[in-house]
Amino acid sequence: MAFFGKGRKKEDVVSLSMKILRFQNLLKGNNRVLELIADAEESLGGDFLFDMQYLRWLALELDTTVHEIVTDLNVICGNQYADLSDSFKAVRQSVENELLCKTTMPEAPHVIELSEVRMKMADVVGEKMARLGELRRRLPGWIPDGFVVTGQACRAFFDQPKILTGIRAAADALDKGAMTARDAEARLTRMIMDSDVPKPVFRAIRKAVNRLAKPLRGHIRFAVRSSALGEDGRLSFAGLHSTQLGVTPDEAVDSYKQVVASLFSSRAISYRQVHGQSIESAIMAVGFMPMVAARSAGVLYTLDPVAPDKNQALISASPGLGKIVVDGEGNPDRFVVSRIDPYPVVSRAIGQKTDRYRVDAEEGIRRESIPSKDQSLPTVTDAFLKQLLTVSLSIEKMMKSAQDIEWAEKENGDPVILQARPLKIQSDITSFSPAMREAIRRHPVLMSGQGTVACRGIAHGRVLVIADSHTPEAISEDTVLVARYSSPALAELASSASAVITDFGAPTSHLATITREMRIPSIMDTGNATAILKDGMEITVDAEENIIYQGKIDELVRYEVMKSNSLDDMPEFHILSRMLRHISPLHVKNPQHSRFQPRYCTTYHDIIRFAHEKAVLYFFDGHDLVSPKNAHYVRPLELSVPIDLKVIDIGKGLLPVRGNDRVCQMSDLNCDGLRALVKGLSAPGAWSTDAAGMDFESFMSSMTRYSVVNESLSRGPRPNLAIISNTYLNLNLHLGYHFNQVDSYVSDTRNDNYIYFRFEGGVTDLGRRERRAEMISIILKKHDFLVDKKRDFVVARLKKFDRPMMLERLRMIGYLIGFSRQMDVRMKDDSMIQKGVDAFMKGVDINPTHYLTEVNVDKKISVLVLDDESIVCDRLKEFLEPKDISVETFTESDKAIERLKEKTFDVVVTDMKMPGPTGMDVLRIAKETQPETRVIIISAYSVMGKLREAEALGSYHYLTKPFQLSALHTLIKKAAKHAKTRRNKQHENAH
Amino acid sequence: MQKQDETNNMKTPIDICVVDDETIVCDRLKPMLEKIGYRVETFTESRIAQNRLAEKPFDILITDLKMAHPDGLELLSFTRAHSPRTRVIIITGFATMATAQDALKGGAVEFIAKPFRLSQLRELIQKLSDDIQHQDQ
Repeated sequence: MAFFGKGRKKEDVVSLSMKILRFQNLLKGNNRVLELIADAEESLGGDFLFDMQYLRWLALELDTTVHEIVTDLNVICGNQYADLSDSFKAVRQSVENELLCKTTMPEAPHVIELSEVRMKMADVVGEKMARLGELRRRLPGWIPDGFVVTGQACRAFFDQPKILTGIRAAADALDKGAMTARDAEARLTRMIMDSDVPKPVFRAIRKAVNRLAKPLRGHIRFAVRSSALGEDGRLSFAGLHSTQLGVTPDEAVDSYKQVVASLFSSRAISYRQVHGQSIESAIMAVGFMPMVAARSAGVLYTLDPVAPDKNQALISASPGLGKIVVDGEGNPDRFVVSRIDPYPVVSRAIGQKTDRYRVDAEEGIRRESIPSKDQSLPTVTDAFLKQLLTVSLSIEKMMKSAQDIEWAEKENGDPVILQARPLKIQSDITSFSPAMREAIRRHPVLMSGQGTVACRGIAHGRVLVIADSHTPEAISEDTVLVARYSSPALAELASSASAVITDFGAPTSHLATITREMRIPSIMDTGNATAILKDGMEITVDAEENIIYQGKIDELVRYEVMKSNSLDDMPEFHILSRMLRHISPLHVKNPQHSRFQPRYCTTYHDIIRFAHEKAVLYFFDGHDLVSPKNAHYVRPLELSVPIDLKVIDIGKGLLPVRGNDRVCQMSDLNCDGLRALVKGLSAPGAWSTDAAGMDFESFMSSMTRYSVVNESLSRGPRPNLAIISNTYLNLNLHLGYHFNQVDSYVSDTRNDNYIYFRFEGGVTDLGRRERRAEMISIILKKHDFLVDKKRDFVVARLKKFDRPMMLERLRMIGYLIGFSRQMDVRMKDDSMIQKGVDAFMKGVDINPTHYLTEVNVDKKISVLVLDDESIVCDRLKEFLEPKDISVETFTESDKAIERLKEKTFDVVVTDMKMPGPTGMDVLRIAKETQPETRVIIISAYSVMGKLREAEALGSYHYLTKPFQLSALHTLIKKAAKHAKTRRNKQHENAH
Repeated sequence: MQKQDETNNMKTPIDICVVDDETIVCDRLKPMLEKIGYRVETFTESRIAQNRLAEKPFDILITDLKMAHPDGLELLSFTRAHSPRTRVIIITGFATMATAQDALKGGAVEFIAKPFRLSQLRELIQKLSDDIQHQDQ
C-alpha cells in the first residue's frame, strides 16, 4: 500500500486513515439524513400513511445519525467544533418537545395587521384569523381590514405573576375536583378584568386601533372576535368564546380582556376538561375588525350538511347586523340555492322579521323594531344571492372544504365576508356511494397513474399550460397549472392554483413543497402532461387515485369538500410539520458567511451541512495534509485540464512510487473510477475554455451574492482533492463557484457498487442556478440515476450496476462536470433547459452513452412474453407487433424455458407468479443460457423480497401491474438496445 | 384517450376489516378504501375487532402488529383459525420489519411497512380482491 511509506511513524498513519474512515461515515450519515428529510416532507403531502410510531422512529433515527455526524466531525477536526454538540442537543430537545406536543410558541409581535396574516400563522393568530388572513390575500376586496392581537400578546398578559398563579391554582383545583367550572369562570374572569395588560401590549393595541380610527375621525366600531390557539379539526372551540360587537376605540383594551377572559367561560372549561386539556395551556389571539354598517346579514352553508347529494347551498338572511341570525333568534329568510352555475334559487321561505340590530354611535349596537309593512319583504335579491354564492364557492375551493360563512351586505349592496370556517358534514353521508362511482366512470380518463402525487386531494378547473417563454402575473383559483418543469419560479402562481401538474420534477421539489403547504393537489413527474392537457381544457384532477378526468365531475368535487377527515384535522400532520421546522430548513448555506457557525445551526439540516462542509474543509486546509510529515500521502495528479488536483491514497489507489517524483501521472492511477471520470472531464468539448459571457443582470447578481467570496478568491482557488483506493473514489472539486462531489465504489461485486454525485453552487441568480440543476437532473435521469433536486442542489445516486456500466457513468459525470461548469450563466429561461440537455446528449466530442444510444437497432427487436393469463399475452402481442417488434408468447413457463434454450431473444417479459416455474426461475435460466438478454419482470404488486432477489440476479427492470403499455414499450426498446450492444461487443471481442 | 381500468368493477363487494390502535390509520384508510368501493369496518381496539371477526368473516383483514392484547400476531392466528379464507395484511413500523417477517411465516399474506404510499396498499388490496373474485367464480 502506498500509504505505509518507509520511515513514517505508524500512529500518524493510523490517525489520518481513521479520519478518512470517519469522513466516509459522515458522508453516509449525511445522505441518510437527507433521505429521511425528503421522506418526511413528502409524507406531509398525504399520499403516505404514517402514524405516531413513525414520527417517534423518525425522531430517533435523526437523533442517532446526526449525533454520529457531530462526533465524526470532531474526531476529524480534533474537537474543534465541540459547540456543535450544544446546537445538536438544542435541536434534539425541540424535536422531542414537538413530539410530546409541548409546543414552544414562535416569536411574533403583539399585533399583526390582517393584511399580513397567512394560513401558516395559525400558531400566532389562531386558526380562525389565519384562515381569514389567507382569504383576504386571495380574495382582495371581499374581506374587511383589521388586525390581530397575537397569542404571544396573550402569553405576555398571562405571564404576569398574579394571573399565572391564579390560572395554576384554578387548574389544580379543577383537577382535584375542588372547584366547579362555574366558580373557576367567575374567579378567573374577575382576575383578568382587574389586571392591566402589559404596557407593550397596551401600546400595540392602541396604535393599531388608531391607525384604523384616525381616517374616520374616531367614527368606527369594532367587532372583536376570539381566535383560540390550538384549535384544529378535533378540537374546535366554535361558539364557546365571546365576540364583542360595536366596540369603540376607547373600549378596545377592555373588550380585548373580555374576549380573552372567555377562554375561561364555564362551557369552554368543561370542553377542555372533556378533551383532557389543562386550562394552563389555554391561549387566545383576538381579531379586531371595523364593523360594517350592514343593510342585511346572515349565514351561508356552501353545502346542505344534511343532504349534500342535492348539491345545494343554504343561505339565511335578516335585515341589519348578523347577530340575530348567528344567535338563532327571530325568523330570518331562508333560501336554498343550487350550486350549479348560474346558481338559481331552488326554494325560498320569507320569514317575518320583527327586529334588527344597528351600529349605533351611543350604545355600540342597538336593537330596533322593523316597521310592520317591511317585516315580510325578502331581505335580499336573487342577484345578490348569486354574487354571494359565487364568492363563497371560491372560498370553499380555496379552503378545500365545505364552509360555514358569516356574511353581510354593505350599504352599497356588495357582500362582505366576516368569517369562514369548515362546515362539518355527518360522516355517514360523506362516504362514496356506488352511484357516485358510476357517475365518475362515465367520464373519459385523460391520464392515469403517471408520475407521483406530491399533494393528495381533488380539484377541478381549467388547464393553463405554462409555456417556456412567458409566465402570467396572476391566475384565478380555477386554474389548473400545467408546466413542463417544477420550476420554483412558479411557486407564487401555484399557491393560487386549483391544482398543479408537471412533466418533470421531483415530489420533493420546492414547487411540490409549496403545494403541500397550501394543500393544493399536485402531481409531479408525469412525463407528458403538457402534451396531453391543453389550454382551456376543463379537467378534474383526482390526486388520490392519480387520475385526471376530462370535464368537471361534480361528484368528486363535492366529495372533496365534504370529507370529514381532512389532513389538517389530524394531529399527526400538525406534529410532523412542526417537527420539520426544526429539521429541514437550511439557514447556514454559505460557508463564507459570518453566520456559518455552530451556534447558528438551529436545525438538523444546518448541523449536517455545517459538519460536512467543515469535514471537507479539513482535507483541504487541515494541518495533517499541509504538514510535511503527511506530504507523502498527498500527491498532485497531473491532468490535461487546468485543474489542480491532489490525491490521497487510502489503499492500492496508486501504483508504487517510482523514484522520488511526488507528482503522479494518469498512468500511475490504479483507481478505475477516477480514471474514468478524468477521461470524461478531459474529453474534447467537455472543457470549453471560453468564459461564458455574462449578461449584466446575472453579473450584478453574482456580485452581490459573492462579494465576500471574491476576497477569499484573491488568495487563490482551493485545491481539489480525491481520496482514492483501487475501488473507492471520493472526489471534491471546486470549480470556480461550483462544488462537485463524487463518492463511488466500483468493484466486481455488483451489489456493492454505487455512485453518489452531488452538485451545487453557481454565481448567478437562483432562477438560473435552478434551471441548470434541472438540466443536470434530466441528464442524470437519462443515465438511470435516481435524482433528488432541491433548488440549485442536485443529489444523484445509482447503484448495483456492473463494473463497465459504472465506469461508463463515471465518465459521463466527468463530462457533465466540465460541461455544466458555466452553464448557469446561459440559463436565461426555461427553454434553455432542454437545449442544454440536447447539447449534452449529442455530446459533440464524446458520447457518454454510446453504450446505450449508438447501437444499430435496424434489426427487429425480438421479445419473448410469458404470462399464465392468455389475455395478457394476446394484448401485449397485439400492441407490440405493429411497433416492429417480433413477439413470441407463452402461457406455460416450462415451454418458455425450452424455447429460451433454442432461441436467443433480446428481451424477455415475464410474469412473476405462475404455476410451475416462476418468473424468478425463468430469469435464472435466461441469465444462464443467454446472458446478454434483458429480462423485464411484471409483478402484480410489490413483493419486496422477491424483487430484491430478482435485482440481485440482474433483472433488467420490473413493472408493477397495472402499467401502461407505452411504458412497457419504452422499456423494451431500451432493454433491447442494451442487449444488442452487449451482444455486438461480445462479437467484436471474439474477432 | 384511455378507458378507465377495471379497478372499480366489483361483482360482490369486498369486506375489509382494519385494526390499528392509532386513530389516524383507521381515519385515513376508511375513506380511501370506501372511495374505491370496498366495505370497510375499522377498529382501534383489537379486542373489539376480534369479537367482530368472530361473528363476521371478512375477505381481508388489515392489522397493525404492535397493539395491546390481542396484538397483530394473535389476531392473525385467531383469523386463521376462525376464517381461513380471510386474507391478512400486516402493517408494521419500519423498525419492526423482522417481527413482520415472522408474521409472514405465520401465514399472513403480505406485510407493508409504515410509512407507505397509499397507492402501494391500494395495489396490494386490488390484487387480493382480484384473487377473491376469481375464486368465487
